[in-house]
Amino acid sequence: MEDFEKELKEDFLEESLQLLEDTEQSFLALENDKESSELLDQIFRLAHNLKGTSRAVGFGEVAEFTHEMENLILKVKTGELPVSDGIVSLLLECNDHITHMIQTLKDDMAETFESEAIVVKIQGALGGELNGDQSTAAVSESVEEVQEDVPSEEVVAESGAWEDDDQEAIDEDSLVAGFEQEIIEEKEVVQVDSPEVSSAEPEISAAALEALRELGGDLDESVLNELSEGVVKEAEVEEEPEISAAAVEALKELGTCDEGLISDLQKNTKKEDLKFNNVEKRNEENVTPIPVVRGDGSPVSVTKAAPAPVAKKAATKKTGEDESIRVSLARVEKLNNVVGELVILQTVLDQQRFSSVQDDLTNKSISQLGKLSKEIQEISMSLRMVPVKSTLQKMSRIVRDTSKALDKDVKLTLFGEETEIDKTVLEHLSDPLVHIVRNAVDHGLENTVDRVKAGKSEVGNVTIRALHEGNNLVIEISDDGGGIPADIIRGKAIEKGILNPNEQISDEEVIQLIFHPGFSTKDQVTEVSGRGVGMDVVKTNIEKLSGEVKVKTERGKGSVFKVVLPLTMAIIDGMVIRVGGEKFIIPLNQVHESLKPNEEIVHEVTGWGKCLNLRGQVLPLFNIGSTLSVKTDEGVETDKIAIIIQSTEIPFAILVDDILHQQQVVIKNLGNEIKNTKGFMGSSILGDGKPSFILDLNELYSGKMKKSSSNIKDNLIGRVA
Amino acid sequence: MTDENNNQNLAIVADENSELQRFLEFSLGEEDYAIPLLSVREVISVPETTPIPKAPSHFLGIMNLRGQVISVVDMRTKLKIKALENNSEESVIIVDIDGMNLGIVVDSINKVLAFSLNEINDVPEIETQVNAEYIYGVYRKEDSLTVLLNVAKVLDIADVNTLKKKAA
Repeated sequence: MEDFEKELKEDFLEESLQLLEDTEQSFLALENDKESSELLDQIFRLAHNLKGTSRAVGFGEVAEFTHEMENLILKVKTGELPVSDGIVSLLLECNDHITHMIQTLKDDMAETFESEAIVVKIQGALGGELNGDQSTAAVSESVEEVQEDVPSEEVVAESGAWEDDDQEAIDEDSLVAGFEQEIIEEKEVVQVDSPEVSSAEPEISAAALEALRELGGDLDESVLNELSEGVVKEAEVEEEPEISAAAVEALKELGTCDEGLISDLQKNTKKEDLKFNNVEKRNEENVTPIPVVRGDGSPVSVTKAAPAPVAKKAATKKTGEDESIRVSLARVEKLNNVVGELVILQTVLDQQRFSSVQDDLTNKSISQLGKLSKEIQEISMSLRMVPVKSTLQKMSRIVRDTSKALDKDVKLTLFGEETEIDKTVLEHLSDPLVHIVRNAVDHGLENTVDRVKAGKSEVGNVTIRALHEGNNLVIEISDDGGGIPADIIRGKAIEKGILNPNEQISDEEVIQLIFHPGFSTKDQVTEVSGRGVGMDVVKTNIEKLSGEVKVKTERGKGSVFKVVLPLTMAIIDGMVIRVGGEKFIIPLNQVHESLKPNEEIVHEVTGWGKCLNLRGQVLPLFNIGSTLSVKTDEGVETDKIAIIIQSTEIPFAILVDDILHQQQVVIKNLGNEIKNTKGFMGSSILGDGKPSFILDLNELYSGKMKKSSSNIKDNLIGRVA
Repeated sequence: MTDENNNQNLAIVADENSELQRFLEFSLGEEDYAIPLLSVREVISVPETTPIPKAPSHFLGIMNLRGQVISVVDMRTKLKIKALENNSEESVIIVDIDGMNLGIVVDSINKVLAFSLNEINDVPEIETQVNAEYIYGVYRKEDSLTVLLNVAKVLDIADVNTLKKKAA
């Protein structure tokens, strides 16, 4: 495969995933607002778009399938098929199928797919409707019919005929809209991928189209339709009218159109007798010449004069909009590295300022440079940030499917979709959120009968709120359900042996047990939940992101799950410690407290090592120097500082020589040669320009903890009780 | 950075009759060694390093190369060559091995050699104390002898693996 073609395909796959997310949202919205023709238009546009581009880049199977889907949408759009839950489910199923195809293609572009089953379903839906209100027998008959045929032939036959179908059925408005959309899409492809193609022209024309369309709103619909119809008939392939239709609109807007002019335009369009299988190329050509067609192609003087300012106006409008480019994360990281270094150098310079620089101007420049480099650092850091929107929107699908499966009526409200977070964090956020949201619908919300009994609205509410809190992103998932019953949790926990029956713990602590591995209150394992892995996954995944999850619940009122995440994984709050002559960094979120141990609390147990008896809790005490084979200062435990580490298992303490300071550190990856060394999260360059290791103490000591944790735990319970 | 990938293999894969290849010659102790010039990213003076706990002794530590953290390896320790004393010419060569950047401490940087590949002699095992598989071959000119070192082999996956095991 040629590189160019491959690149096109890769771009298509990326973009189509975005498109599919949009369609999914539209489908879900459609379910709530079944009458909305606006939504249908939008869906149709998106599907059409997908079909066009997938065919253009050579994914025939995707194109064929989207064509089937498009047919279905068309029927819905024209009102032949009423929007029902069944239809929406089918559409969502189609969407999933395409997403699956795209995902698979991303890994292997040569992959083929079995779409028969779902195509049959679509045909069934279509067939059922085509026969009007006839009995279900007729529907099933038509299904059988399809099944008897070799389905692939069916698809091929269909695909052969689709142009006619489309032209007959699609009403011009959506057609035009769809094409515009396509042009705009294409324009982006051109800009990003082919810098050699002049991007200015397509931009103007696409923008012009947009402007024209806006202006075209108050046009005489019937005349416009008539014109467009003519265009459609003339056009050889369905995308052809994009020039003519747009041009016609432009002319119409100027109020100067006459038959001769239109035919001129159409001739122009036909001159672009381009092959169907290369929309990409066609669009490059098509998009660019629009001003030419309008300016030079038409002999009428009015047209010559007028479109120019329109285009100009549109162009200025366009520049005000938020445009974006795609940059690889590796590049951004590289930039961050260099900028980090710049800031360090600047700090060195800044320190020199007081000791050796007398000159005022130099002084001023240095301080100015400081401000600038801070700003550059902020900007370069922000490049990694993306809005949480896409992930939150995925949740609406989860809510829908879960509530359908459980036959509950649930309304999901999203707040703060624009809140930004580091891309790498966001990627890992989806799974835990799915679990929490699913739990909220399944365990949190009562069924309709119970809700009414409790005096609540029939429709359950789930709210997801994303916001920034200091240097953290907070995502709150709240439901107005029955809350988490502490007594039931306690009972289950004892039953499953997670909780010692004699242990006295508060209700709040009991609630935390839902995060325990293997815990589930459901006796039956259902499709939705009950396997007892959910909340455990949530907790471990979020902790992996150096975040935490908290739960607050009130009986009868509902529960709130609060996920707190660092904004970025590239920067962490660290505690710089000294062990002998070396500095190490401990992530602050692992540190629980630090203290200077006195003789009373340090104990040595033979065969067990040292331990710390802290406020009735016995913690194993490790000397970090000996763990890392780093020479420490002379002296006994009481000369050093003990840091209590929060651990996934049990807390433990480490001995360090000194705590130097706390600071935010930029995490740098280690090279492959030492990347896999256990206990190192990465490294960071400290203020003196020297790199230091960032320790992952949980990992560093996990082996030791495993060996002793069980008897420690037993002893712990025994001693405390 | 990545453009220079695979360059350490240059000497082996290149055509026998190809044009002159260039190598960077450096000294370890009293001996002369060389590596393909294209695998060299840059040469710097010995930087400050932070020791890597529990790493094999030839891992000198990690250094900061303009914001990038790179491991520095002492080739002399690895090859069991005695370092020169009172040496002011000690340098670090930053090499790129399959996209992996490493710093190598050497006693001195000598010169850039250019010769065609058929001038390379097979490995005469007795002439160096170095494990034969670390070497592509030997380049001899008049009475001087330069060992063509396979850095990737010397610091090979085997080492990375020992590190993994040690930590585990």
